[in-house]
Amino acid sequence: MSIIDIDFTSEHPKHSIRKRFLDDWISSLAFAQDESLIYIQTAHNKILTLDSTTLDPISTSVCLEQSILYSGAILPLSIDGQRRTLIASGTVLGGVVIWELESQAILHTLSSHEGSIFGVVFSSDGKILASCSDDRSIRLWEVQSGKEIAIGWGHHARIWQLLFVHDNEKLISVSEDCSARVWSWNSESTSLICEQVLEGHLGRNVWCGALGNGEDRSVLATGGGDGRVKLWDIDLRASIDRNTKKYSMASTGFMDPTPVHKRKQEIFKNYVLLNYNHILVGTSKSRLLFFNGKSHTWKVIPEVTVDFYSIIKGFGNDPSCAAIATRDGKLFIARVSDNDIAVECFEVGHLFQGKLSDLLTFTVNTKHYVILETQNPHDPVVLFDDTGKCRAILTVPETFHPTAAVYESRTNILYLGSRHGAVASYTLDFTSDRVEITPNNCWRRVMSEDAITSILLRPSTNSLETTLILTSRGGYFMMVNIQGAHLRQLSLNRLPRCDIEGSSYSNGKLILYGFRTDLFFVWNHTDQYEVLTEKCGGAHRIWHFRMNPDDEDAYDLLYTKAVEVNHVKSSGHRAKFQQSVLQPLIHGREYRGIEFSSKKYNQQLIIATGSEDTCISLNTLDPRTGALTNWGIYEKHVSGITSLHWTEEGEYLISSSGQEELTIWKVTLAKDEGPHIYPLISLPTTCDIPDLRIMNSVTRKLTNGKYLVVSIYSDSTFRGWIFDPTETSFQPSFSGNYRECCLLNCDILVLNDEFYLSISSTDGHLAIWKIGTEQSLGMFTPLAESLLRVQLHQSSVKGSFFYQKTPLSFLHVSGGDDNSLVATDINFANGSISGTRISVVENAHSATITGIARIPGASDLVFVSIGSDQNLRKWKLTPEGISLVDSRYTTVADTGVIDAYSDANGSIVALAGMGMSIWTV
Amino acid sequence: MGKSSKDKRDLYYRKAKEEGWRARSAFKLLQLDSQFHLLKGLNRVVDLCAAPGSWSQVLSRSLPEDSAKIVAVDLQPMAPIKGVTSIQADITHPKTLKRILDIFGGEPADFVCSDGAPDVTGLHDLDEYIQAQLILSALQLATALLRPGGAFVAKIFRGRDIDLMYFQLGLLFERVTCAKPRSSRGSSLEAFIVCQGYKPRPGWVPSIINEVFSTEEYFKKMGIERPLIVDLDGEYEEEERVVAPFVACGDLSEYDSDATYTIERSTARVSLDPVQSPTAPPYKTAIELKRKGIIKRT
Repeated sequence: MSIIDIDFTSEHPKHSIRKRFLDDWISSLAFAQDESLIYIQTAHNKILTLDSTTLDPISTSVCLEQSILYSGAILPLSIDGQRRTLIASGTVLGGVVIWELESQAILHTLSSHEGSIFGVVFSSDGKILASCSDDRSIRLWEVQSGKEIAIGWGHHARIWQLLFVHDNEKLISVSEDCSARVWSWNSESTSLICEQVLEGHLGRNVWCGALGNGEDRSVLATGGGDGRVKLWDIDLRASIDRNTKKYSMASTGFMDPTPVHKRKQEIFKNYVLLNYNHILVGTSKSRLLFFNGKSHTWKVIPEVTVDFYSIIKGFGNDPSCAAIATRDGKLFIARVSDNDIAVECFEVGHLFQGKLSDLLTFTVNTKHYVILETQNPHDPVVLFDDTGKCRAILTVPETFHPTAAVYESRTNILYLGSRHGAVASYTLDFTSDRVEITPNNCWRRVMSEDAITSILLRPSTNSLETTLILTSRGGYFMMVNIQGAHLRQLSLNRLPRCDIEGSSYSNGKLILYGFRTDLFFVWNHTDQYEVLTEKCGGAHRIWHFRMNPDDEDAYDLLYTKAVEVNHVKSSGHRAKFQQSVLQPLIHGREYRGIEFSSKKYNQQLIIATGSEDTCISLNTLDPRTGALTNWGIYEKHVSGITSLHWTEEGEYLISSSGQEELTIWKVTLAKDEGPHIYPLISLPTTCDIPDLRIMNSVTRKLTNGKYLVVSIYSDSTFRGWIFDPTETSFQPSFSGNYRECCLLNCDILVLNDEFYLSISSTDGHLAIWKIGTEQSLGMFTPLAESLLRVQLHQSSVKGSFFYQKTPLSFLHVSGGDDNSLVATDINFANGSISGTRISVVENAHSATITGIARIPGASDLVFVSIGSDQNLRKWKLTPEGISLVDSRYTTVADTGVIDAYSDANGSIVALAGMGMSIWTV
Repeated sequence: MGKSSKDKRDLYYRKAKEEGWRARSAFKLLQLDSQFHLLKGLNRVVDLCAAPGSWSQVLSRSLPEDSAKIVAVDLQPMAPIKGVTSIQADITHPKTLKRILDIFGGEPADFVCSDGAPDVTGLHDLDEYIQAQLILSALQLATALLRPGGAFVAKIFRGRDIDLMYFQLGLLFERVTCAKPRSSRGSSLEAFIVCQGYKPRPGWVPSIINEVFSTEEYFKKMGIERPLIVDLDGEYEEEERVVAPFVACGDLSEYDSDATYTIERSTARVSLDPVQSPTAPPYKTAIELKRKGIIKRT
């Protein structure tokens, strides 16, 4: 228990912390109404009363119902100057007990839940108690009578905590299904009504919530398994729902009153949202309608006839203007003022043989440009300005159908993306008219054969480089760097099951949007959360979306559903808080890989982590402050990551996971763009057993620039491959089988040009094979028995490293499931290999040692170990044996991985499990 | 143990079905026994948190049918096992002790075991705490049931404060060992505490038969307690911790629960019926509502 005393009298509130250690789990705490006492409820259903000044215990009260509690709540009341304290106890066996502290009398035993009660909470007026349990239901009870008032179903997994909000009129729940929900109820029904589902965390759990205590009590903070604190304006979604508008032909007043067959009725075909909430609509009967967002009135724009297939588009972040192209070759430019619209028509059809099929737009300063194209392969792609003047005729490479465009003012280059994943660049010269322009470059298959749905210019502090973000329908998005004729793929990432339709930068955050099943989604990739999911009914419908460039939670979405256009508008969070994510992201599940690169980025260390959540995270670490900066979360693997290693020079990253996945990522350290990884190649699978896991891998750069890659498997097999970076290929080099146990660690040793492979496994042994010379590795060889097999541990070898002692001998240090550390001398003298255990520390940790790492650079052999006892220990290996240097407790639970980095400034250790922690040693 | 499971890789899972065990955990007790010879010469044994009953099955198959008395206790109902008397009861309730002793005709037990564990929440501190409370409840009953020299075996999670528990157990038993059977996955924190040679605390009389005590008070009366409240800023005595010796049990030639086996691929495709249907989870109503479409994904 910690008491934090805060002095609010000064401008910068000062605080001091007093800590006390109790002999039991604390279920809840509360101050008495006059704050002179502190009540502590323990998991043994006991209340300890302390003096709030001295923190000395005054009394202990025990409830007659002695069950272990998962949750508790204390309600201190003051009735006629008399203290009355109600206690709610959520027991492990499914009952909720309400008792009175002063009399120790049990008032109610509420027993309709099944399974452990994970949360109980009183409303602040003490009238209602809410409880949640393993049975995934929420129940409300009348405190006075003990009567069950309402029950709420909706969460898909266990519910951890409840919170009353809005003057006890609403309830918030947080759950293992990674959502928080807002509930309401009324006297007419016994069911809680789920009003909002808040999904802003990654991984598995939202553990807790808290409410702002200031003037605005509608700001909710949630804490998740992903380490983040996310702020929510719970009024916002309600206001979005309240303000969602629906428009249809019927509401315009211009619908033909003569009844026709439903399919022939006039409907909205195409629309764009402009300034002042004005909307420009093309109808199925070729009319152009204007909705005045100020006066809320409709008008038909006279003398303008569009057609059924006409295209209407806005100009990115400039909502003052729209362009309309009709199939028969008319281009309209519409400009809005605060109260009206003006439309100009230009005949452009004579430039094309075919029908106009697409329109792309971009803006240069205040000037708007339109690109028009047809389906006819003989037609040019033509660039017009907003006065209808033809400015350029773009010759496109064969089979290049432009689908996306972006213009970079710095270089005067227009980039076009195509339907088949290609990118072309054109230098635009706005000084002359109607010039024919050929592409500077055309890069084919940049996004394989996927249609490029949007191109975004990444705002860069470095003015000499061009970085683009490309998105595709397959859910992929890619960052590419362009220098002259050279296009480098920096990173490739995906949103599973998503169809990305567009992208934008909003307040510096990368926003991606599109369709996922029957939803329209908006994803904040920088902060990794979903801004919006709207049940629009599926992809391939007409929609228009615009992000507020200054607020990443403010947007407008228009979509058609059943002849109506829905306008969903969010005003964003800016009015209530500056940013919606307070804590940086960590993996939402257990870490399974962590490694420092040997390369640095702007004096920062580069650290890659991989997790059970299947993602790889790339970060830089400031060695002076310990501050981590995330440069990307990569989702490629289908199952949880099992290992993550950099090659010696930090040029590639190798990740492995279950389902036989192993991927080699190309690392780029673009200046000011941070480190990025691009998946170059994945190992071919060897069998159809879905559970075959690659447990670990190791690489060694060969003198010919190729790499030896070894993958070890859960079925006791191992394989060697030659990875050729220039050809981007894998060549099998060797394979072998150890025994019948799961392999865990592997290393490559090189002695006098001979390569050796060492493997340790769940059987506690270390085995070494001779695998050949650099030359012979190029030819596939099946390997027979190992040259050496020596027992190190009773069971699993959980972590190990080699240290070359002399040209012919190595020290192998390992940590095991049997709590012990073992140093083994591996000697290659006299043409044979011997392994001798030279030092053993039997109880190096009080539980499984899950990882060890050598601290490079130290003159002695110094290493660190981490165990499931949550101790980080530093050791030294001298001729006398292994000895303990230091031991520290870490709050990171389920610690599994550790790595160390050293340079002239010192050594840093990173460890991770459920969370991550950085230490200087 | 249901008919289908996400985790088909585990050979023990399949072997358990083939050999008629109600859960794969049967192999854990078998492997513990092969290491420690726990089940030799037993007459009266108690299996706590017994459902679905795989350890009771092992006890029933290992102990002589005519002379041995096996009592299985669980809150959940359990399908009958030949030679096992099951009681549906709370192990922390004083009446439970009396019921067991009645079955034993007032004689003490030779062996008490518990393979119980709560449904883990994922909050490691909380899970380890609840597991420790479960072990203490089992131990409380064991100290009142066991004859001097008797043995106690329970499932533990090897987490951050496990050394505190080793210390407390060391006050009550001659030998305390942390054992990890090969059938328990290396990737899990699970292990078993094997406590042999029960030595009742000097001067202590088992008296919980007629009295209600909390677990803490009970152990306090044995002289095993922790201080109520400690000021971390002031001086305080670090609690005693001890590391129990670790023993991996089960022969290395036995199946590895972490490995993927390819040899029995053809047979592994044949789905076997579970030996015992799984007990109803507390969230069965939620599943029912989901099936009916009342609970929906957004």
